Amino acid sequence: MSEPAPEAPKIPRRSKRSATISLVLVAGAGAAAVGLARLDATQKDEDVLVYGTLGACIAERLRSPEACTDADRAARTAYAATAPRYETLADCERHHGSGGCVPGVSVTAEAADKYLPAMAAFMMGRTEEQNLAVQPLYAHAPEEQGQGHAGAAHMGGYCTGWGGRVAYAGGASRVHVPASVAHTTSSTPRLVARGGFGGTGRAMASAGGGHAAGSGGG
Amino acid sequence: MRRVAIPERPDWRDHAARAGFQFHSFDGAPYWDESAYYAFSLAEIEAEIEEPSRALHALCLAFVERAIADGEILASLRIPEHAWDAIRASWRRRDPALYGRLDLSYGGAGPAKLLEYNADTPTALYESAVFQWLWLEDGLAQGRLPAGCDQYNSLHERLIARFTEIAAATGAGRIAFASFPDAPEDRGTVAYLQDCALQAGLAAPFLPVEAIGLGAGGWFVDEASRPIEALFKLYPWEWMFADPFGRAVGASPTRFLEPPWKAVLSNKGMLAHLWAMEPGHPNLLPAFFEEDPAKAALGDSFVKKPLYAREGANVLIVRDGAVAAYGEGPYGAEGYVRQGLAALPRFGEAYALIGSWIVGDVPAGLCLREADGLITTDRARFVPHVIDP
Repeated sequence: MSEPAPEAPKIPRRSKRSATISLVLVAGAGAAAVGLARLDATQKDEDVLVYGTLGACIAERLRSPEACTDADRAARTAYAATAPRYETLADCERHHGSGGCVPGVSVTAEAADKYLPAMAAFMMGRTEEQNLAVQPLYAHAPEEQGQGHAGAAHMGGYCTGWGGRVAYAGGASRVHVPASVAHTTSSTPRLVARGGFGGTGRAMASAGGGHAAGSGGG
Repeated sequence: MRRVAIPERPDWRDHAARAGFQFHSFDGAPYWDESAYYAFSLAEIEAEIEEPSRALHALCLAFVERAIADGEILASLRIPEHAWDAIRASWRRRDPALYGRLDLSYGGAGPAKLLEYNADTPTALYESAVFQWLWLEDGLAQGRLPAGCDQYNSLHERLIARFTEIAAATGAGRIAFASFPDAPEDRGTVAYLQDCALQAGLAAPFLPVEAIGLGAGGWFVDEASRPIEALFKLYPWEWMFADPFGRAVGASPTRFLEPPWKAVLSNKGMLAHLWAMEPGHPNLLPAFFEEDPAKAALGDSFVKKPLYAREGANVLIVRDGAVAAYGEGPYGAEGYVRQGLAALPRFGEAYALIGSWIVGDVPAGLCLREADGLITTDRARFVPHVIDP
């Protein structure tokens, strides 16, 4: 038998409020940007290099010719294995722009009945120490909204195999990308649709329903 | 219930910054307003707000039970047919709910009247649970508030406990939290809920609502294409169902907070059905669908509300046959309900609206928002409250 329960302490009136408040994430956050960076590792940036060709990488001399050559080879291998597959050319071009796609058979026999985005560039770390895997990049059709990383709906540029956005202004090879984009690689071809939630709310916001940025709360 | 003017703390913005309260102002005007507070008696809180809230929530659950068995009810709420299976399945599985906010018209005299149930995506949660509580504790410590004051506010404890229950009931070790990342009030509300989930021992990553993917097996997936077992979304079901992925919810193994069945309660058409179930209920206002001739019983004073709307948008208040107030907005395409007019109580220049929180199935606290007009919009100010010693 267990011991009898201790007698409950006599409280004259039960409090109607929480006894304590503890916050592990929210408290102490400063400006909004600081607070969100604390909350979301995805909001932190990594410095990466983006090159359309092996020659551009070597010519810029930010990384060694050997590192450039290795990166180009790794990106081409990853491209064939992990590029997103689309059932139709139209589906593919909706994501990657007119002329941004090729028949799968031209890349790998395994994707013979599919369409793949053309590899537009590759992305590597600014330094070896960042320990970032090389990723192939694809053109991202600017007219498509809601794809990939948040808050980037209207940028052009590139996307990774899983849809992470890489804002690339053109010309400059050095780019800041969110850590989630830099660190997350695609190990299998993406058979995932994205951007299927959010559109109705954005449309309501632009029609005047809620705060300027759009709000689902009430 | 009375309104008490009090000097605001000159450094309350520093307090807010330390507590992570980042959306305390809106368009340059304060949203958090501590130049006054409301004082209630314990009897008012327990008999007029807490118990009626418990009863109203129970009545709402009884209505869900009816609605999922009756296609005519779901159709009357203008819920698209492709969503019915998801709603029904989530109810039959007893998918747990996290929280909701009953909006009540109550001024200290006469029973509180239910205006609507924000059962799906309520905000004002963090400031209710945390900053209002900190304000009380600081006021007591500094002697600005009468010793022995209390507050009707066990939200924080109950939210953490509810996450613990949900984790135990569903086996989920991880809940992803989604909202628009660029809406500060939404993001702040979700950050607070992530905080509570973490304290309940769950992993609680954030996910922008537009980054949600749909992957193999019908799973909704995160940015790294990992399946999401449980997804909290501060994005209402009527928008989810209207979005392209809405049709995939029913067949998906992903579970949601709030569950799909909450779509039945966050819809203002519910008000007409509750009145039909319990005509004369002391905490209900008579309500009818706009196309129901019985609406004539309301005479020439009533409130016309879109079935789907937020923040007071497209609400029309008619008093004695004349338009007393109208909220601009983009809603109303799905139809309207007409509800008896229970004008918000006026304290000085302000109209006060009570939000009565439900966590799980338990009443858990209140928030008060003041507006300059009869319709409480996103410009309303949050004013704290106490229970008299």
